Amino acid sequence: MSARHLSLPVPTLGWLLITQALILLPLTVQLPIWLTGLALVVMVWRLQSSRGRWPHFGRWYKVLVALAVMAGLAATFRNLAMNAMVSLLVAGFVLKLLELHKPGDVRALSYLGYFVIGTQLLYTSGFVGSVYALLCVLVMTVTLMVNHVGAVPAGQFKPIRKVFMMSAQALPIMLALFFLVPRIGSLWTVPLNSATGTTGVSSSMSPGDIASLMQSDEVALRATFEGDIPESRQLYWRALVLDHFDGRTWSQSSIQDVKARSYTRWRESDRELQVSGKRYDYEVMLEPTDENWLYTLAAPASYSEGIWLSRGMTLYQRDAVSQRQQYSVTTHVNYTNQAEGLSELLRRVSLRIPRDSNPATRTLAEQWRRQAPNDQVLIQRFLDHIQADFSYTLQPPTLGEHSVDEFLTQTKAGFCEHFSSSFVFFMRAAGIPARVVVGYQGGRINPVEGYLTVRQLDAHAWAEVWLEGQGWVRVDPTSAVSPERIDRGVQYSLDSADSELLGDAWSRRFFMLSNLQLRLDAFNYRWHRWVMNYDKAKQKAFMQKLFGSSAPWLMVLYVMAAAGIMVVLILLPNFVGKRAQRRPFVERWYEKLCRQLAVQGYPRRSGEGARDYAQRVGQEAPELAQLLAESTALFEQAVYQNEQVSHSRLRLLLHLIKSKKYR
Amino acid sequence: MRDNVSQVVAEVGKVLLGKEREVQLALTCLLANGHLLIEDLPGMGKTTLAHALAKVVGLNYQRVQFTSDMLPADILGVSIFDQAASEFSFHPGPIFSQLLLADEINRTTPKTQSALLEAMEERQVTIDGDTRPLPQPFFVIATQNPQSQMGTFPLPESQLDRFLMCISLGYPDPEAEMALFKGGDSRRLIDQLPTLMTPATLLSIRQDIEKISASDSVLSYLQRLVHLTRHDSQYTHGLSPRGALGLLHCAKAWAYMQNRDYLIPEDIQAVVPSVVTHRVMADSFSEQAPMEKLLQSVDILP
Repeated sequence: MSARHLSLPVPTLGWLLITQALILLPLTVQLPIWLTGLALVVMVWRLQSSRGRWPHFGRWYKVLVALAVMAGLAATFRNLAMNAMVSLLVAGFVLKLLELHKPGDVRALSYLGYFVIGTQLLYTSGFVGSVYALLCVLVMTVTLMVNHVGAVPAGQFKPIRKVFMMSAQALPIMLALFFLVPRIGSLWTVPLNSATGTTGVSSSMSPGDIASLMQSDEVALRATFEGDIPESRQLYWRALVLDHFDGRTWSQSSIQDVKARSYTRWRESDRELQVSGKRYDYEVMLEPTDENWLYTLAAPASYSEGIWLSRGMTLYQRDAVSQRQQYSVTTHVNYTNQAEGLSELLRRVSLRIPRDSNPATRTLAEQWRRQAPNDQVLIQRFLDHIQADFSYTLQPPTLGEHSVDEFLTQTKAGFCEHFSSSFVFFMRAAGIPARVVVGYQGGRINPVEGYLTVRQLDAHAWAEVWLEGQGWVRVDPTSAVSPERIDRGVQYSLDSADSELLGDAWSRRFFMLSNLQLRLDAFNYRWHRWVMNYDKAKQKAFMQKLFGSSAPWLMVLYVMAAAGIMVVLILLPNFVGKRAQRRPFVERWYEKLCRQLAVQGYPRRSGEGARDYAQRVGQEAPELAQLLAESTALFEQAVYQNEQVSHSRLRLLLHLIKSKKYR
Repeated sequence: MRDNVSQVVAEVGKVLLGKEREVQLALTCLLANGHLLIEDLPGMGKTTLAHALAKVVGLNYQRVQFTSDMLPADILGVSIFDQAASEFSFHPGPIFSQLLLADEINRTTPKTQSALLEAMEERQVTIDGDTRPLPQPFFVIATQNPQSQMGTFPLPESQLDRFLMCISLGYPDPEAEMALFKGGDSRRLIDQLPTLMTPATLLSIRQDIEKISASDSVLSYLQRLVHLTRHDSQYTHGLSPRGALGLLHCAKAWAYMQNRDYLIPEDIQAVVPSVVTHRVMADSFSEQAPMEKLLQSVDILP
């Protein structure tokens, strides 16, 4: 075969390559770099070989290349995670170019292309990503159209316009399907790659954990409040209660652990919550964390279904948060929990400290304990102490074995992690039940949409102490040292060297950029809230609003009615158009005749004249010859001689042929 | 008169063996009042066809062998000063005949080619200011060698359009060739052919052909065919309106030869390859496939 026979029309190939490049562009970040290189090489080769510059490959070369790529994939990914599967798909998508000869091949490749576009959304579901995917779909459709139509001189046919017209026509159907088709939850969840799942606070707190978190500008969660947003000093997003200390790391004790699920044995009175103060209803949209705990302000009074309350009055759910998740919570500014008395188990856990660690602090704590008339005085004395000559910095000196001792007596500089850790240790040493709470503090209000964005750099750790009659009370030692951290956010509490370490350092320098970012974020948020998170509940609410009822049978009825109307609307113009210029009886009759003969195994060839056809069929099936000769003669009389012929005779002939009476 | 026509085909077929369809096409072209271009290698029977046709139809016949040093005057004629009468007298060239065989037209210079082609179009020649009409009927059969041969001046596209049809004879099939070997000298055979028509009958047949009716349906089919040649990129040029009219005319002549007084799509299909190919595909008219594809792409019903 010569190169001429192998090559596709230039426009088709051009569109195809452009589409492939567009589709693969966002995926290149996720794929192994050699696969991107391979894609480039194959695409360039395809272009050159169709221009006759580079040679075509034989079959065995193709097999060799395919095997090599498979081996490469196997070596790169040793498991069957999502990335491996997507890479395989992309490899197939690209290598198909090596054997692209016929328009049919392009069609197959296009269908595969739509699938690959779908995989883009596995990695990004933001507004920009979705719009980009949609663009890819449109361009893919243009390619399909160009391929289908074949070579047409420029100007005769405008594929882009045509595709936009078709897409515009499909839009109402898409919207109706989106709103009306019953929402089924995801049938399975794709495990995220471990590399991407390390966002958010973790279940233990070692020195430096939070500081590294603060270097990230990524959004942790967004919250929409009904009514006012609480002031900044109230915005403590609680995630986990850490009540176990091994001398260096704080973690959850077994009774608190929301992953171990040993939290079921509640003492009923422990859950009792007396609330007072202003009530806040809000909806949280949590970015995927790959962990199962959720974030709330203060202690939640009520919350969405499928979420549970832990002993530390935090929320968690059964499965890890693997995609953006939305839940609503009600909290009050003030609450009292377990004021009546601490259970023995909880008290023991909340007082436990390693035996040999930090002896100096223990001695000091016991000394202060004896001097203080009550717990509040002791706490206040500690806070006053650190306020006096401690400083807040993101670059604290490193600490040795007895970290609390060294921090309190020598370095005297650190951030929330150090303050909360040493505070809780000190209180426990002084006999006051205390625990560390981690989560986020603060957040920035998006002026465009009015919701609160909490980012990783808002990560924070603080403390809670148990006081007789008051229950668990929040104490934030960091606020004693650096009140700005709490009131205005972490950006304002650091000197310039420190704030360079924060994740948003770069965008803070350009006002325009940060403004743009805010707008984009607002858009994204809205997109997620109303489009990506359009679930069963939202659909139900929508139906309720639209039809006044959300009974399933009614929904089905509406869906069917909508579908029916749409089908009629689509077919109607066709039908009306046909009727308006209805074709002459004889022509329709002849088409019926041809159809009937085709059924009997003698189809009319395309473009074949009536006389030739009759003659050919007459030779193949002599028993038909006479009927067909008469039919053709009548047809010619009517169509080409403009003479009147008897319609009943025509019908009779058709009937005879149909009923095979001639046999 | 129709019997005459089929007889003509039969008689010419006795000389040009196994080429019934080509003879029919050539006759169609003659009846449709157009000129014929035969593209073929030397020795394929082009001259025999022209000669036999002239004899049977009763036309007077002239043959011009074109060469590269030929001048227009060699075809059209020249005025020579007559000493005795002391005036210029016109000596008509070979073009003043009813059937002119212009052999190897692409051997001569464009100047001479265009003199002939102009005369073909105008059906008159103007020499020294005098316009002289050509005889009626006037029919040119031009032959040319395939253009890959050396030393030729290919006819430009605009002049190809002057020929209503372009056919090629091709090699005879085995039976015809055997018969050819057994048969005698073709020149003697041609001399023995009967004359079946007069120029007057030819003219009246042409009038009958004009009267053949074409229904809207078949005209619409023709229009769709023509439209496709203009909008499909595989044709270098679309069919011009003159070409389309020529196609209709040929189809009518074909219908006349088939003993019908109305046009059907088969008539058009029969003449499409000879009428359309040289007009839409200037580069390679030996390739017939595009015409088959053209006919397959358009259905007889809208």
